[in-house]
Amino acid sequence: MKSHFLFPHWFRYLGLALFLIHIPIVIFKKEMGFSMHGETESDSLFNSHHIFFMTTTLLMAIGLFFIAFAKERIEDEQIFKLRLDSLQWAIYVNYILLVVSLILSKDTEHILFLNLLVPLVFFIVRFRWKIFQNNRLINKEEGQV
Amino acid sequence: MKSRFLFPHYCRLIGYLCFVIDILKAVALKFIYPQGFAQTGDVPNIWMNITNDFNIIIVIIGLLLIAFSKEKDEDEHISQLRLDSLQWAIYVNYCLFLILVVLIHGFKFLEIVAYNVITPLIFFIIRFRWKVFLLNRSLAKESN
Repeated sequence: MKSHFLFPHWFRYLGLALFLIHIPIVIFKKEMGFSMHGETESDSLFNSHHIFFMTTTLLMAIGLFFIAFAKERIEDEQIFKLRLDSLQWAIYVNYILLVVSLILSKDTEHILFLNLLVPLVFFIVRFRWKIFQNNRLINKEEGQV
Repeated sequence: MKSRFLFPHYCRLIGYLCFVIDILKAVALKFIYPQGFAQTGDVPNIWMNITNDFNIIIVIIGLLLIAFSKEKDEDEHISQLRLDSLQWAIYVNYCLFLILVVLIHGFKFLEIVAYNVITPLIFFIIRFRWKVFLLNRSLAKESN
């Protein structure tokens, strides 16, 4: 059994870099003159607000995407299984959160943004954590032998 | 290798049932309020909010059950297909999202991104079913 459709291993570092670049841009939004308040929103496609929104979202989404779907150094059955489990869990968690937040709140904009982030972030965290546990287990076994 | 965290096989029927209920409800509402909710007056109709939420939740639960119920026989091949399809679904979802981010802005953005919520599930269901169908056909051909 093989894992198809994955990016090469070094894409993980590329993804991390993209994601890290996007954080200071969002934090220093006001200082860089992209604050939206008081500005009238023009109808053209390329006003400053939209360009700002576009670049930050693209950086974040592509970064997370690359981190999530880069190949591991060693791809084997175990990793494959962890990946499938984690992806499934990510989708479950995403939709459960979505349903709960739909019932409890009316803030559609943030719900949708959450919906963008949650599957990838949850997938990355769970996958890494499982690999970490896996590696620790293997190290322990080798120590006993 | 076992596929874990899946619903039992009969959940697929429940999923389809959710869809049928939702469609019936939409038809019924159309008969009760022929002009639709928007024309019923300036007062925001509380029914509208409730049915909107109800709609989305029923659709999501139905799709989840259809997508993640067990096949009749789960083997290595099926789980390979499932992983591939899931990955593709996520890829397609984010590609669509990125295109939307670039092309659309303002209030329209929210309306359209709302549809993006169910694209991964729908794409996953279609691709997975299609691949299972292809697999079955090639198996049937071989056994001939």
